[in-house]
Amino acid sequence: MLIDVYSMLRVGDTLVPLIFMSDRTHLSIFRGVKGEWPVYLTIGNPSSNIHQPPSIHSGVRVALLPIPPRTAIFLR
Amino acid sequence: MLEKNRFCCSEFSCRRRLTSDSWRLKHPKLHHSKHLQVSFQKNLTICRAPHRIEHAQRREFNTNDDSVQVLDAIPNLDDGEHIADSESKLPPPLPRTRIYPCAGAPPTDFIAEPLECNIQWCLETNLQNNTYYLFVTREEYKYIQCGINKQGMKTYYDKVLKKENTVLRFPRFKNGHRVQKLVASIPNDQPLSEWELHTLKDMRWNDNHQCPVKHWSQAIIKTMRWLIRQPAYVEHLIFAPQLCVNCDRPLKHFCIEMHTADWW
Repeated sequence: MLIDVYSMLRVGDTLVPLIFMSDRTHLSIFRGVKGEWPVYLTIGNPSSNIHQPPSIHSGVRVALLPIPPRTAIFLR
Repeated sequence: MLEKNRFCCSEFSCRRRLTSDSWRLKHPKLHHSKHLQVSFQKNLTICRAPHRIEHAQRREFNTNDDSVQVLDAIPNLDDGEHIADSESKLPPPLPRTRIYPCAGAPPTDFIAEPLECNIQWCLETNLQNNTYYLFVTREEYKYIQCGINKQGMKTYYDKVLKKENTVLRFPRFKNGHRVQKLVASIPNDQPLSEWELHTLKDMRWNDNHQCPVKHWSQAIIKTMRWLIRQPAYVEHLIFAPQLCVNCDRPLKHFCIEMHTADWW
């Protein structure tokens, strides 16, 4: 995959490093504790002062990963 | 007494109480399509993000010895046209990385084609074949190029919209403000793709939960394109590794250094 992408690059192209972040988000406590793991995407080309502060909203949600249900051992 | 309107952006939760007359996008948030629409309706100009960049060279945790100032925000594509012509004049920058040797090492497996020195050929090839290319159309490429060169919207209008045979044809404007309004009024396409529900068919939670794993996601490439095309990012793209061609025969690719010490 990486080799295929690299072979498509031409002179003058710029690489865009992608940074993925994730953290558990608590959604609700009714009918069981509900939460998900949102995956945020930002790019590494700007400085960390720009793409890291939450107030700039540079992280875009690209996926919502569910939390697996509890195992049977816990339920017993 | 000014009437106060509350502008709520559901996408980014911008819940600031702002007056109708003094409504400005002073906060360095990315310009969402709703922001552009409201700013066009209220005849306002969009402010850029404030400068809060420190030189990575002065930071203590920056272990690289190279200067960041030599790296442009986005590689100047006008200079890229003269890469082949200026082989004898200015040699390309050599990789000088010590802690990331793989970043500047020349990939010997990839031999450059002689046509790659022609920047126009590279653009046409990327527009046709490269699905990961940033620009979809030639107009987008030239629009960003004018923005990089800090020539302003009027220059973009003169160069792209008026001189060339493009689909967008507008009457003459005396200043760049109306051009900016006109470009802002162009209907914005869906910057972010729609959410799609994916199912991992071959994966189960555990023995007691045999239902397949489902998750929501959207296209990463479209999101990356939308992020790097944000006008608030234009002045802050300081880490832009660029693909170059060395002076050896045959020509070989190598990337200039990628500064990763300042990512976090």
